[in-house]
Amino acid sequence: MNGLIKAEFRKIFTTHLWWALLIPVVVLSFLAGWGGTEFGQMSIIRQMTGGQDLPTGLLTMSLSTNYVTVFAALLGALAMTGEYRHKTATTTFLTANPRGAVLGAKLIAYTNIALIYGIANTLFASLGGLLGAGSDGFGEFAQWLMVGGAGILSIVLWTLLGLGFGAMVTSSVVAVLVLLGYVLVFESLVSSAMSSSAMSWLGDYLPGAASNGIVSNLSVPMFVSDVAGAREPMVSETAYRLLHSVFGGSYGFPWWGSLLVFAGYAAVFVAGGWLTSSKRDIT
Amino acid sequence: MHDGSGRILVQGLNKSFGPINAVQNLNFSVEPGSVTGFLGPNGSGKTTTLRMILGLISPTAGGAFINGQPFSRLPNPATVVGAVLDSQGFHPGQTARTHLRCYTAALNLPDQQADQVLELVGLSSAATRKTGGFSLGMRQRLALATALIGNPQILILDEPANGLDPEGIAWLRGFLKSFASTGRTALVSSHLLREMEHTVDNVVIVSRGQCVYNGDLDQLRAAQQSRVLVRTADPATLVEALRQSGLTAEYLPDGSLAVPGTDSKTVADLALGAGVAVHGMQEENLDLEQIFFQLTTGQYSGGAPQGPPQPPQGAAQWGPGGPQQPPQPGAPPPGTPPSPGVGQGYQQVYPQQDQNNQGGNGGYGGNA
Repeated sequence: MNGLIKAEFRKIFTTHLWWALLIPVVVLSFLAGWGGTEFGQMSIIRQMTGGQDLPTGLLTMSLSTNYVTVFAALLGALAMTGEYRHKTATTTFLTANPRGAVLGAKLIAYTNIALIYGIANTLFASLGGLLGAGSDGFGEFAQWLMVGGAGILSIVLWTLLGLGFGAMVTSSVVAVLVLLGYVLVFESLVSSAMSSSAMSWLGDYLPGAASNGIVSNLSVPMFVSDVAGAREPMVSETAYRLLHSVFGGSYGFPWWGSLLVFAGYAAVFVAGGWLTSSKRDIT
Repeated sequence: MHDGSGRILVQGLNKSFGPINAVQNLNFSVEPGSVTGFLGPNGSGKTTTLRMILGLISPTAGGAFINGQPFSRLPNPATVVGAVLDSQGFHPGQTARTHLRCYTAALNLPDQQADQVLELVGLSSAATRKTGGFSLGMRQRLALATALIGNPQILILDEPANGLDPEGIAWLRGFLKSFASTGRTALVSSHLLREMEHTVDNVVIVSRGQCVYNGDLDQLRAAQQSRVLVRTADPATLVEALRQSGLTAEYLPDGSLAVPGTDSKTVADLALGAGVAVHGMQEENLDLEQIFFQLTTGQYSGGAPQGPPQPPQGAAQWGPGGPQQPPQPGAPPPGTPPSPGVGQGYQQVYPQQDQNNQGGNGGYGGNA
């Protein structure tokens, strides 16, 4: 098994994909961190808040996390489909018994790559934030650590979900198109269709909403508490809902609830990939 | 992992893809210490069979065993069996060396093994080149190097000669012979017998997913014999006359008759005796390629005579012209299970043929 994991690391680091997908992660994180904190210091905001800067550092960190998870999902989706695409799946399965061992080795190796992505996101979003607003806006160190850690978890889980999904569909084109279509278009259509119906509560349990909630259900309450201070209990629900509609998550939903829901999705796809790839005919 | 066996056994193997029966009740074995050719036309189920042996495709029924075990039970399988199934299995951005080092890592082998197999297949000079720029022949060699990386006891190659130039084929021939001479097993598929004729010791010939010959190539060669092609106005009467003299005949697509195991003089005398006008007669000596062709044709034509004249009633008793029947499940065709091996003689399997037709000619049957 150790050998198979080593083999997966070699496959990753001798090809370009891992750093090619890391570039947009780093760039988006940095820009979101920078732009978001600059926004919190614009004069129009100062006028509204009576001269106070908004501590948007944690908020924009969660925003950047929810942007870059799609690249983590693509990384995972291409892990297994790449083997089918380049027809290396045959040789790979000939060197491992049972086939599940290959998937297991990939899960471990790609979890490590996803950690790199997650750490890069946290660091570059923070760097952008520092450039935009200095060390203000990140709350307490523990809060920064929590939001950053939640972002890393979200990115790792998206990678694993993508990996399981890719192992199920085997076609890299299908995997990429379906993932992008779902994340960027389909889920927002579904949740807006549901929002006016009795099913609206279900929207929080969709994969995208759940993954956004992992970080945003932490960062939004932290932001409100930073801004409002002692007046926090008086902040209206509308303010929370407005912030959640921009930064993800939902009012009153705990971040660990989102984490459990999304981890469930990731587990389902990993199990599906496991089952289908152990039975499939490799032709 | 060289436990001295290295035997491949295929027993009652069946695979259907939906309505298509790719492999039907296939039985054969491959013995160590020899190069076995796995021959059959395109679409005869060779690749499917090889992938079933390697556990990549699960059979609908039956099984394939390597050293007595199904592939899925082999620990560290690449050290027991190495395979080249297609020569496309490389990431184009990897170099030959980094590609191979993925597999040395997977097998817990020292990395120098990668350079050793590159040396073995003559690709050392291309070790640091990206595989995306490799020619087909280089890909074949790299695929072979990948198969050899675990120093396996059994080597399975699917159409390895594709893309190799004549020099490459000669090199592969020498390589396979020396591989087998160390007591190891090589199973090599091809759709051209001629390509394999000087490489293999034994052959397994499949047609339409069924085994039609399994045994020593020399025995098959010894079975070469001549046959007489007759063009006549009244084939039915001539066939009857031939049958009374103990000869068989078969219809060829062009309407003439082929009479194996005799000479033109005998046929001419019989035709005269029966009062049948003969329009033309020709003696034909079959070489190995033609035997192979005869064993495997009919794959797509359905085996029935296509041109006039149609066989007379009762044709099924003496000729091959009846519709090709798949073998009944549970009723193995005559001659199975085959158990070949040098010196054991050969066994033939004629699942679709009439007993009469098998009786006399021994070497080739009537699917022409």
